Amino acid sequence: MEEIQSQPSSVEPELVALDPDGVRPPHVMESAALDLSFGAKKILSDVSIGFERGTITALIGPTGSGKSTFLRTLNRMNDKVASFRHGGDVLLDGESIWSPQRDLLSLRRRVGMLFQRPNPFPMSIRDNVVAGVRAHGIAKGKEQLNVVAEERLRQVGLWDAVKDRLNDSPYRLSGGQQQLLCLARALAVGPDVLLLDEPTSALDPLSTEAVESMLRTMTPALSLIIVTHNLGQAHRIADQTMFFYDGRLVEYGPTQQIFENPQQPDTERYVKGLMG
Amino acid sequence: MAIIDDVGRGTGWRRKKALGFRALTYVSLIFVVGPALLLMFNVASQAIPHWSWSVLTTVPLGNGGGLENAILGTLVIMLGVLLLGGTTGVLAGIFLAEFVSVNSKGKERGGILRASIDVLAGFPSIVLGYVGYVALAVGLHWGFSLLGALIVLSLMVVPYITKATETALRQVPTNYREGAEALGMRMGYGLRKVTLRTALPGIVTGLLLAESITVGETAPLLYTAGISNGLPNWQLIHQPIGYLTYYVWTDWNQPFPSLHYLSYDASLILLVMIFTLLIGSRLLVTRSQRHSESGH
Repeated sequence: MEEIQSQPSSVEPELVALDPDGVRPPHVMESAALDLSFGAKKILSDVSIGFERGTITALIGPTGSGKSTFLRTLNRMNDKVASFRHGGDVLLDGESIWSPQRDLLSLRRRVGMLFQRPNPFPMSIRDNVVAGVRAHGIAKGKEQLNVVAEERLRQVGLWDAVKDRLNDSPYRLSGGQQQLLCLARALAVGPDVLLLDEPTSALDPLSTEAVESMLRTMTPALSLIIVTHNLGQAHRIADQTMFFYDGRLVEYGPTQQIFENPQQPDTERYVKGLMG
Repeated sequence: MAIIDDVGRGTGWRRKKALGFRALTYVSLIFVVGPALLLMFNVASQAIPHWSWSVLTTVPLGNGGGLENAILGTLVIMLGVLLLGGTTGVLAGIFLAEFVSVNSKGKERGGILRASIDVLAGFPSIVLGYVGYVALAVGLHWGFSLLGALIVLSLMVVPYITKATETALRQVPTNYREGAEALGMRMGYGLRKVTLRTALPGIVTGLLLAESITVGETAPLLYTAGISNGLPNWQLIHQPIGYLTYYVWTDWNQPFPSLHYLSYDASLILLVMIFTLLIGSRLLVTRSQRHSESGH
């Protein structure tokens, strides 16, 4: 797997523009010999992998394979679970996410998350978009916040649909629109990495397509890590794919290779639909 | 095996069962609504024919006068309980729902607080009043006092507020909390802006219940607040205070029609207060929930 990881990214010129001095490590996030467990139950063992900056990585695998727990570890969403233990490390730009110098709140600002079910807050559409911006004091005052709201709603393609009802409840929007609103909210705080936990599994096919095409426009400015049960989705949008099975990272490589020329028998069975 | 029986007996039997069940729900409805309506009708029909607006603006005088002292006293007590008991109860509820940690065996801490609240809820109000009298009026030499009354009444209503707050917070979808966390909101910030806002209807219902209990209590007030025909003056101790329920009971037991009228007036004013409270809190909740999942 090591040699696959170090393949040059196809979007390198743009990445160079984002990081002119070349000081950032090529991997935006990296897990090093990571072990995860809840109490006595081991979830994942010995995952060592790097996420390439500015690309989309899909995490696939059957239910219970540990991929969601892995994803939620990347912005420390599991930390408050009392029985959660980890061994090894996760690095963001070369620094441990658990290092004492690392502030949890700013970590989460840099590593955002989109959930399985759209979860707009019980406040107006506009307030939803700027909720994180407000919390972090990034923008202040009505004017600035309105600018942020419009900018982000335009970015996710929701502006025309909601511009006349920014003060309305977000729950009047369709499921797909709600998920795009949550996406706008996550983008508004300016993350480097966005974690997506089956973001379209609660949506209809048309909304799924809208969200997917939105996600594709977000690289290379952003690095996306997406857990999905939808193999077609992984195939369509991901640059790299990781296959998890039974608490292990079985295979990692360019999406095309994972789907068309898998090296491991378990991967082959899974992507061909013989195991689910 | 009820299902199989139903199949054997056919739809007629099932329809009868459904009908019977529905009839039972109506009967229980009558048991609740009937006495409430009867009470309101009785109070209104006795109070309104003799109603005089001067009741609101004069203090008791001989066999007549008004209830200004008691109205203001009850309002002051309500406000005080809202501040003292409301704050304590809501904070205890937030503690139980949000901050109680789970120990290494997966068991929740906070058992002592929970047990204390249950004990408090089961205490007869007159006992609580007597404890207040012995400890505060006599023990601390406060005499009859507003503060003593507020402490005892607050202790009485804290369990309701705490339970309501905890339940309401626990019903807030995990979704919201995680969304707030994932955005990097501080816990207190997310609690304020997202979780508490969602739980508000439940919390307000608890506060409303608490205020209704406060308005209607008599026994613990006799022991702690004493009674005063003078207007309340915000003095916390060494100063008894008047309240409406006192006059409902005492004036009715006097042999003078003029005092009977006052007794009914006091009841009517209590009812109006409770209704105002109800409507006010509903408006508040509706306004705060205009962006909620259920409120649109």
